[in-house]
Amino acid sequence: MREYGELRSILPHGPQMLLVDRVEWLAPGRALRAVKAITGSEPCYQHLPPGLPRERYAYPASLMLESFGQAAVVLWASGPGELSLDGRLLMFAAARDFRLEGRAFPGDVLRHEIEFERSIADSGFAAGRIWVGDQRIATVGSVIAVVRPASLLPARATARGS
Amino acid sequence: MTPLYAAPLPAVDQVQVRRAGPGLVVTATKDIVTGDPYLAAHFPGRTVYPGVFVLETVRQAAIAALGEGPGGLAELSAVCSLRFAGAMHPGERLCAEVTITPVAGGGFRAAARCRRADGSDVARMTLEFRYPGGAGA
Repeated sequence: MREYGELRSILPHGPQMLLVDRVEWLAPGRALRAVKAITGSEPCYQHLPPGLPRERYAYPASLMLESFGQAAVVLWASGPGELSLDGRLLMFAAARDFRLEGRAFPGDVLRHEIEFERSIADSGFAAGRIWVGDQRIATVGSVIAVVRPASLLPARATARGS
Repeated sequence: MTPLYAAPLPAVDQVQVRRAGPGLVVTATKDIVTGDPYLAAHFPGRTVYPGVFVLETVRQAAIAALGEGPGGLAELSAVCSLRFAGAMHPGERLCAEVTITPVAGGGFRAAARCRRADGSDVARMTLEFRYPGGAGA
């Protein structure tokens, strides 16, 4: 179990981009189950005028994949001495076979079931499924994250809050 | 361009579509700016255009080209492969070229190459789209 406050310490994302709310079950370094609640107050819905059909509120696949990837990183970081994000940046490197079988809407809770497959050097590989209730809405063949020294990227201190 | 469907940000500034045989070639650009939704949180003090937002740029470009069909607006149904070559930062321009071809049995395959304005590689991906009420949905 990892509550939101702990996830804030594990992942470098600011609250608006932190797309995991809770880890419900964790087998360190091997598998986890994590949830992300979708609400209509999220930024991805703010530009929509009233009167649109329901389908227009399907949670964007890009954010669904980001949420899954963040949960996968929490799993990676739970392994024995595998991953330190201190002074390093986490990057999404690749994905394969992310297949959407259903949709999620405001009010739904995404549930990620993830298995960590392996890490090679600074790359971590994971796979899994995404559920809403008892309906599987996506399968993820693999996501690959890499960590890089933060010094490789220029600091953008002026970008904060702008 | 502000999409009329759920989207993390307006991920396409300009889009052009031309016919190519049975398919379409879509070119789209997106200027990376710090004021867009979510970006101040990715990451605090050090803005990087999230990899999934490069995917979002291609998704919005393809939906702009495919528009409405049986059952409504075209939707992303699969990310077959997606590989990033480098991160994008504020002040850079993302240029995506997306080749969309119909596939047997319904739906569309979209192969995209994303670069910076200077031609350097950002990402390559192969996606699938479909109409909600179309074959294969």
